[in-house]
Amino acid sequence: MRWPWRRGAREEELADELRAHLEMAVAQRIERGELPAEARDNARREFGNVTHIAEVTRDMWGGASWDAFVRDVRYAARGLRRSPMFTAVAVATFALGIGANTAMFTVVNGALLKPLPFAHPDQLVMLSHRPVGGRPNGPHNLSDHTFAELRATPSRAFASIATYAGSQMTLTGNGDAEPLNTGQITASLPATLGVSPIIGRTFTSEEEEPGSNHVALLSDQLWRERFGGARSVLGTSITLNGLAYTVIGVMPPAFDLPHGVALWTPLAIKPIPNNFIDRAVIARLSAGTTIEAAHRELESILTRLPSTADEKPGTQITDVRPMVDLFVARAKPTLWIFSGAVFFVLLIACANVANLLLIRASTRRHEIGVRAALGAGRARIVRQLVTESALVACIGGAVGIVLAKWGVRLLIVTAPPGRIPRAQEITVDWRVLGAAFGVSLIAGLVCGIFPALASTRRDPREALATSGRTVAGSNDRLRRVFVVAQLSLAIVLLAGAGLLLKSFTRLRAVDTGFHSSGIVTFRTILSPAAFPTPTDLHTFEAQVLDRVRQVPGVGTASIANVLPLRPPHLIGGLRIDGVSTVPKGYEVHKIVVAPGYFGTMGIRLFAGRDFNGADNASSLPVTIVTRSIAQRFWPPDGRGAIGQRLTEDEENPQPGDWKTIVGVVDDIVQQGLTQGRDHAQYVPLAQAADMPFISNDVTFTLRTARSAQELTPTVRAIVHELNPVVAVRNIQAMDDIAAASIADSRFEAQLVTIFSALALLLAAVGTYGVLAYDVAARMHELGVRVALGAMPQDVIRVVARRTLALVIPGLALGLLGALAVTRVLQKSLFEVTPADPATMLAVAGVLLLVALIAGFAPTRRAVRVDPMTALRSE
Amino acid sequence: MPGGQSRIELLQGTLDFIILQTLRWGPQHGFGVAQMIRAHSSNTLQVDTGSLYPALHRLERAKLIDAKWDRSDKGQRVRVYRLTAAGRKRLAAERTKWERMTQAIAGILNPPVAEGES
Repeated sequence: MRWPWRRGAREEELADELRAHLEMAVAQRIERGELPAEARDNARREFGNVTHIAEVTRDMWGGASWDAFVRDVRYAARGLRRSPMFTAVAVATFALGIGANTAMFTVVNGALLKPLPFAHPDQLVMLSHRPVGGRPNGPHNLSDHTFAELRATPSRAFASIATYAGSQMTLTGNGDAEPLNTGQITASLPATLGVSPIIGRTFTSEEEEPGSNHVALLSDQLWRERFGGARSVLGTSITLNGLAYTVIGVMPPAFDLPHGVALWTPLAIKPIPNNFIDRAVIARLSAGTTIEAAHRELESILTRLPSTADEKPGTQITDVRPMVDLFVARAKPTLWIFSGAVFFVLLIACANVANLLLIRASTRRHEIGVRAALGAGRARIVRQLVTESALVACIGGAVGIVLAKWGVRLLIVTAPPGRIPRAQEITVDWRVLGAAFGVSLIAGLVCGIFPALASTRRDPREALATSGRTVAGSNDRLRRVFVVAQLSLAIVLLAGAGLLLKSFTRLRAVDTGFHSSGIVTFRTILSPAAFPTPTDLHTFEAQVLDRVRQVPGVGTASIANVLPLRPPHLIGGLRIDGVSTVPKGYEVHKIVVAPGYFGTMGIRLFAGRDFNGADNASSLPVTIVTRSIAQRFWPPDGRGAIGQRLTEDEENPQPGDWKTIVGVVDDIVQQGLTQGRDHAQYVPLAQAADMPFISNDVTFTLRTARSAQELTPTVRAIVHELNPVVAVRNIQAMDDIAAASIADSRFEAQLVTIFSALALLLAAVGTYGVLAYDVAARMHELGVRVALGAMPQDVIRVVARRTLALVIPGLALGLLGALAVTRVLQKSLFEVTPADPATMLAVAGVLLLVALIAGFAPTRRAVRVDPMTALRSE
Repeated sequence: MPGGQSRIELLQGTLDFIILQTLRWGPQHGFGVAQMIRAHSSNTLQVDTGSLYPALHRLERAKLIDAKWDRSDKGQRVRVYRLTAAGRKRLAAERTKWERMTQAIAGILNPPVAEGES
């Protein structure tokens, strides 16, 4: 006799015992005169199914031992093999639910939970000090003045502090001119983070000073890609923005600050009078210092520093927070929303499998009854059934982990850049595997326990008497509860998706005040070395403008220092000649443009004129303001603004600082589609000579019928021909810039929609399962009805009533749940309230439709019931 | 199946009782127990192997019987079951219960003739 499974000693003995029994029976028959072959056959027939007998006997051993567990698992595996259809559907359902959750947890783990890849990351904090309700740009900042003073102040709490900035630089020599994102860091940054270079050394504080600051640290990636990873790179000279820098070291990939830069140069913090810069500041706490203690000490130090001491109490906020917030603060709420959504999917999956198990249990009632009759206790049988569901869940979990690895990659690739922080640290690690296994186990137990309890509740004698036929029993109600739960969970998700989608459509429909379609933009960065004077810059920019205007298919073209909907945004106050009522804190966008900008962008001119070629460095300083500024100070229609004067210097304007308003244009959306239109003041490029940092990085805007892609080679050729060391960046359509500015909302809406579609699919399958089972179990009843003259519509009504009995409670509960839960989306929604009635109505409609589709096949079966067949099968 | 035309399926409690009673005559292996039950009931009680072995193992677990490996008279390695002290006690208790029960049933089947009648 061959046994399919490897057995423990005890099972071996049982097999021996049963084999001895069989042999004795054979021997006895032979003694009585039967032929050996005949005797063996008869004995075996009389004996019965050996595997089954061994199985039910093992049931009696009981106990919660490892052996019993292994037996249960084997028994479960055998049972699952016997019903491949059930197993496939249950495993697939779990794989979806657990896979989605594992993928999301992988992201949450890598982005939010894992410690930063630095030494003692819990000691790293961000410092900030800002006015209450202050500027929107960066909440975690200190002014350069405060930073410099703090650095010079001895403190117990802070072991070291550091700051950094980012900029673009052009790398030339050995190959094409390459525009690079670069970081400027104080010499203290690597030591503060506890990061050492791979080779070479980091900056000394003397190297922050002009004259000795032409040194550079390379990123690991740049080192390998552009310098072949050779140690000999140390001490060599590279050309940045046309100037020579000496390479002194290479930093490891973990040193990723600012994010994604290719190299670093030193940053000197100069607390000079006109420095109004705020920066992110990172500090390492001394060993044993808590964040609270550091916060108290920082507050007390700030009361003594020259730059902060005379601030009125209560007007400023001082903050010390973990450095990890720098990366994750923006992504956190979104990731939690996603996690909540996938958790709902898992709950629905569980309810689905629980239903499958209930249906399966009712077809196995005979088997369960036999075991109970033989004396296996209820606990024993329940344990076996639960083992089965846990096994299914674990197999599903294993498949889910594979799906998750794939899903995470997809998620990171499709997410807008920067939306998922610390992407390089997001991997399936032991923590993810542990969580996936734990969730699988819990899911298996939770959705196995109710069916197991329900199907073992009845008296075994009753089960035996029905001899294996399925009867719609009391499990029925439990099945319905599960379907209603699925439907209501699906509604909550659907409502979330509906709200986000509606909000996204609203965002896309925002009237920006300019015509973005048909505009192509590109950016040039001119190094001070190649263009030493403002005249050089302006001459070059004028040449490029001239040439692109002649490109076939290009209409008008102009230049601006910043574009709407793309950072950075420059904001500042103003002072108006003869008006003393400009409130403190009233700030407007400051934009430098060339003539023709408003026409190119399609911005309406309300009064006065555009800038023209005559507005140059030697002519009268002029400016153009938007309508809301004009109407605010020269009501009612703002036309009175023309000819008036204003200045950016609020404190102490010199005669040459006053600019005459020559035009009033429409307000447009600058900062973001959700923020509405912004007040702005425009200055001509030719008169912005005192702002070289603005006019060496400008964006060209072209109104054209051609696409950005078509124009790319032409634009590159024109710039290269005029000056080969100038790099061209970001050749893109204004439409794409607008789309990128709402990519986060789009991503959120897409992902939640995918999750809710998954949820809806599972809920539909669940509904279908119960209705199909229902119809099958009621075939007899339906047959009788038809035999008694019921028409198809009567049968349809019966099934429809059953369907609605599931859908209506599901809808009601789901909508209530949605009203309670969608509030968490508040911050993600634009012009849509979380309880938006239209969305809720649409969601209810979708669910009803899906339920009808799910009920279609069972209804058709019911209508086609043949009374004779149905009655005969009784 | 061979055997009589009127075999009776044994319910769990009854089977346990009969096994204990059978083992009162001495240690016996599973096959022997089945044979003795059949023989002593004149082929009326047929014990299904699928019920016998679960019952033996259950009784063993309840420490009413114990088991050890031995050689049969034909030299075959067999697992032999034997009543334990607890098993004997249980058997005595079950026996009393059973006798009271059979008396009662007999009483119902053959009601005593009331005095004064017939």
